[in-house]
Amino acid sequence: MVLLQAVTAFHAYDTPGSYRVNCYLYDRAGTSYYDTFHADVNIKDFVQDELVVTSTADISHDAGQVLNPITVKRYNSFRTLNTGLSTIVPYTSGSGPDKDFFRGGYDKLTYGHLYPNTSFVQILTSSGIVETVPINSVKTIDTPIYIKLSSNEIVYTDVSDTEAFFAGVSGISDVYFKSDFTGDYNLTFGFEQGDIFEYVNTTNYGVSAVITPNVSYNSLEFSSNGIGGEGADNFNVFDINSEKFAGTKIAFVVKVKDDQNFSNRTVPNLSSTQSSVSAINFYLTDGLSTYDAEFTSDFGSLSSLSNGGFYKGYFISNTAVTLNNVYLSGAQVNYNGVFLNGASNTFTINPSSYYTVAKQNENIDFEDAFKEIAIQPLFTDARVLMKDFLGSIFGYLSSTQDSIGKATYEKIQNFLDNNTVIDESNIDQLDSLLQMLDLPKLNKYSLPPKLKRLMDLLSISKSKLFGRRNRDKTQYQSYGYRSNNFYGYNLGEKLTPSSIIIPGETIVATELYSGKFITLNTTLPLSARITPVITITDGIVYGTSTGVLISAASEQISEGVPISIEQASTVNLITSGGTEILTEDLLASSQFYNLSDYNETWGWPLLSGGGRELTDIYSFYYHASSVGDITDSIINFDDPNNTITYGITSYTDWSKDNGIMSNIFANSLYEGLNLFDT
Amino acid sequence: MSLSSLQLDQSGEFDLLYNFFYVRNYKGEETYDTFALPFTPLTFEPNLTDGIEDFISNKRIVWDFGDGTTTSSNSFSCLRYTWII
Repeated sequence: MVLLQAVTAFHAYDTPGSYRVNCYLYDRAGTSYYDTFHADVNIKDFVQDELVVTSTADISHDAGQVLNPITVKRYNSFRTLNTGLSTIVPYTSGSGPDKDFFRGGYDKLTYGHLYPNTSFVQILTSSGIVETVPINSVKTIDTPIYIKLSSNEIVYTDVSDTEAFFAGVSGISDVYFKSDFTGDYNLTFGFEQGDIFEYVNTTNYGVSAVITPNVSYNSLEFSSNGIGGEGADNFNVFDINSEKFAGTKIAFVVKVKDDQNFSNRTVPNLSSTQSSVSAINFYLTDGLSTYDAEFTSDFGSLSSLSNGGFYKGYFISNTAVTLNNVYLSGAQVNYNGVFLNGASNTFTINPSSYYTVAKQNENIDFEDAFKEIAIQPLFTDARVLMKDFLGSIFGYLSSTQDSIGKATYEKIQNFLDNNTVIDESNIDQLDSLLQMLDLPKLNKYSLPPKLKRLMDLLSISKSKLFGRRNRDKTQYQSYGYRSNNFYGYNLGEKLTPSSIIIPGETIVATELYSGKFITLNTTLPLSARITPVITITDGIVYGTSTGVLISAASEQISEGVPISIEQASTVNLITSGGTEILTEDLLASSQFYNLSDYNETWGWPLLSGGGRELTDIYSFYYHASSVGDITDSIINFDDPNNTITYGITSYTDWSKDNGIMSNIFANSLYEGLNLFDT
Repeated sequence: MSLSSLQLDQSGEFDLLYNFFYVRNYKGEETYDTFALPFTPLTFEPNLTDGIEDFISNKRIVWDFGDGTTTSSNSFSCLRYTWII
């Protein structure tokens, strides 16, 4: 905007620089005076592009250590942000380019981080994880700067101010210099050439550094790839994964750490050769037992390195049972007179196909199917044709779920659910259904058949997959055959007037004249107007959830004592060796009363009987608890191949990282990539 | 900065004019420095002596701000007219 008031002019400049201002006047004939006064004005950005590099301490520390932060502050004007925030580039002189992590190309190598190198590093936090990361550009924590004019003064404000003008950003960060080589270095920082364009000359700001020998060897660090914590950052993302499989190569890297937990790459590499000066022994253990495992070194292209202070290899466990909470332990004896040891994180080794999920209608035995339809006498004894030929093509009952016969049969039998039921359908069909309703498309991927089956199956909600248990616990009718599944299985032992009733343990009354069953709340009498006579025991009283009172005597049971579920249905129990164990002493008293104390104030919905005894009208039974059948499940829990059980897990265990679904997928990927040795 | 003068050339015509002007920032302070912001303009105010209007045009004046921006007008009849460009 330009204002001219009378002959007074106003001008706001857009761009920093030095400008010469001229005022041209003209005579009455319109001819300009050919020389006029001029003024040179200087225009600058409110936030000028600048780097400020400071360090509170001398940059002097041992090789491999990440100490003595260098504070880098940036200021960038709003105009330089038009092409994005300018890049701050660190540079070191004093070491050859082949030693630099980036210029030496180590960042392009899979295990480049194991080579001794020099680099600038930052301790960055992402998603709550703190990591020490080599950098070739400095990442700053930036704050926008907003200003406005108030009473002829420029004041700071924030974005919520309607008069706010975005003037630029300031940013700050701590950068460290790490080198695995001793020596003197000059460290410089500057904006990347071209980022600040014509307004500012990029200026380098520098400090010097001295790296001294690191003679500290303190411990061994295990990880899956050699990227672990440095110093105090506790970075453990690349620990050995918590779920592994037997029969596969489980890779690991061991590194020598100094007494401040920094990687010491100045020492010789570790070796599994026992005659070596840096010999190391490995064990697979849970702290109590040591398990068989075959350890193999696998330095690959790193084998040419003599120094680096690491060991790279893998191990294979061929366990036939799940090994829970095992870890790798390494001990290196007498390395330069120092005893080094260390242990990995704990993990679980599952046998392959530990979790196999079977879908409804995948339990077809095509050998039997062919036998049933081949009724000609010619085929009845043709074992080779039926079993070896057709059976091997189409599969048996024990064949994998993706065998031709099972896959085909499942597609036919489950056609309706797979194609039209929106919460059970396969992914492709679900996408078609969504498109039909003008809903957003799904991302569809071309997957191998095994993975596609798992994606189709495990994308269904857990509640649909597992179905529901029948929670009806009122199966009291006892007519019909005893062998009938529904034959009164919730009806327990018949009570006598002297039978004890435990509050909280349901009982059942039967109207003798009508056969009607009534479930009675045994806690109600405790608050009745005329309460029963309460007997208080010193210990626990046996429960009646099985429909039977095992004993009327009370018992005191101490922590660690095996207990059956009938004894105490309301306490927390843990299982040990297949036996339920009390988790704490049961010393609190409990109580019971007798059925013979019954009166109408108890609140039970029973008929009065018109003067007759209650037992003339009703029979009473303990209520027997039951576990109902599973209904409407997509998983076939009766399939002999299925290893998923209904009560296997919570939703969290099912869906979490390295949970059961993850394990099923991982198993399939391992199979597809031929990572199982056997 | 506050001087202005007219000088005669050799022919006796007024042909050379030095017109001094004040430069003020957004606070009204005399300075040659300011920020490249829309709300921190510089003000350029000529110091014209009495009688100069007898020699200069009241139709045309041009400011060249040095950044490629110029202002001009040929329609003012009085030096105290207000322009907004």
